[in-house]
Amino acid sequence: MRPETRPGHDAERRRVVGRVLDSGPFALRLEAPGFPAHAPGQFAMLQLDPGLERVDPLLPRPMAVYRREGDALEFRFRPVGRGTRIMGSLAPGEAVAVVGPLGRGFRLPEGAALLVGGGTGIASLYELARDSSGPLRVALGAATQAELLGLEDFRALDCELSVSTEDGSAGRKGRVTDGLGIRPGESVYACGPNGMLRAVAALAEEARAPCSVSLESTMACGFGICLGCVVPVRDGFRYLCTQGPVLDAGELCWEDLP
Amino acid sequence: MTPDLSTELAGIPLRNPVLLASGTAGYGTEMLPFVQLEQLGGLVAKSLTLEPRTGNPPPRIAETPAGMLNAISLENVGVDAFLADKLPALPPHATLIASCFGTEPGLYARVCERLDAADGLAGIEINASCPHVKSGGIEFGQDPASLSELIRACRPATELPLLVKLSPNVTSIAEMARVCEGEGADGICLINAVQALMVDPETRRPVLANGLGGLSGPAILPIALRMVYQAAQAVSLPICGIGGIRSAADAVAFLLCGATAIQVGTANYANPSAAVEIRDGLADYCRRHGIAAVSELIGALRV
Repeated sequence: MRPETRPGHDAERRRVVGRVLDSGPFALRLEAPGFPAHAPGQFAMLQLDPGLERVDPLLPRPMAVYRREGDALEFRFRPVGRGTRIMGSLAPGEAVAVVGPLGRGFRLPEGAALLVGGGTGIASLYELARDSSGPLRVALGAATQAELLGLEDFRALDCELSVSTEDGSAGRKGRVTDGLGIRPGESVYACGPNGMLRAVAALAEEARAPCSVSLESTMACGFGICLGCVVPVRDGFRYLCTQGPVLDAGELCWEDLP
Repeated sequence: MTPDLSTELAGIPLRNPVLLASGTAGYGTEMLPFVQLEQLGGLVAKSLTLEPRTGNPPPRIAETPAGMLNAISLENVGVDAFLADKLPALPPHATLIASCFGTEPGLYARVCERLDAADGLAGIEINASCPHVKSGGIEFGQDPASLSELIRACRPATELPLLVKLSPNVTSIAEMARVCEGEGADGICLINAVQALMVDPETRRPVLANGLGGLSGPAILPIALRMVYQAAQAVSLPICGIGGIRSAADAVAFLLCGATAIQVGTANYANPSAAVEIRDGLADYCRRHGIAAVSELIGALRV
């Protein structure tokens, strides 16, 4: 018996204890045999203290799967708080518990697609870009060059890539949404800070383009029991962990998002 | 030697003393990828109201040192949807306790009546940490007279074992335990979350949209142990210990203080398999200490 599932998305989830292959300020790679197959945009909860011995931090951290190669699961992030700082300084061989894959990821585009990633949000988009088969444009933006997560991987893909940084250290100086146009027939996929997503959603609405956005929230569990990760939508709330993190831009109450 | 882990809580036979706490294990189905419910003592499902209920706007949760703060506001599908959709989806041999609440005693009682009429429930836990509308919003569990009124309303509504989950936000937990005993409850569960506040100094606002929240997790364990110990001294009702339990060692401490069973709560978020690991750890503890039955530990604190 399984909890409420959505075909092709979170039908399988599991807890496996993985081992650190390597870690750095912006990336963590784990060897996690037994982690079920996932869809682009799905996430995992990473517990850095699998035995609950230190309990500081107590809670696992929700992280989009950046890429999977064999048993190696890769995550990309910025060191913004205690959890991500620890995550970026783990020694090879250390144990990390992984619960996942979780949530509803992206549906692969059926035609032309525009992917917009801002900051840490870039990490949710790599596999979507890699697995897309139609004409693909990717716009990536970050505060500074070091935070353009996985830029080298996107460069290796067959896509039209544009890059911007707020400080001008790489690509065009400015925001990823500055001068961003949506071409006829394109579907839009975006992940980044709420302000960026709001701007992308407005552009998509104007162009009448379908737009999927991946949001983030503090989460305690990641699989629908703590009910801590709600976002406001037209008819109430959605749980980002089980009903997201990818939502249709049109159903969100953007004015009520922080 | 395989130690006997079985115990009994308020007339409910349990395979072992480890249950999942209400509000931290959904309606049970969410936990199935991580635990076999039949391997646990039982599950206390998320609290139910007569009608479906939506919770607070975000942010609803925040991490704290060795714990977390939450103010979900008892969002739930309502008792009828639970009985129609959630209960039938659970493994038949799992021991299931339903939790109920309302803003007035009569509303609690009506939830109890619906639950009483259903098949497959081993007991009812009354969540006494809801504000009593008619008493000006003070929690039932914070006022002896309100608590008494609440149990008096629920007791005739069901023949199922009736457990009362107590709030720690009181001056005397012993007094609240005695109220439960006097009104005919079959057992008590403690503690619920500790009322708390987190502030963001940058915005100068409370971290949670609701302002106040309930603190849970390892940070509250010593408070919970103290209260279980005091309640056990005050009444002869069976006690289910709750509060920050994350290991078998923690569970043993609660049994020693007088609990006959325990509930795992916030640890389910940190490790959804925690309860199973605690059960296995209890067996190891018994083997290591040459204890034939885990029930020997109940109230065996050396003082």
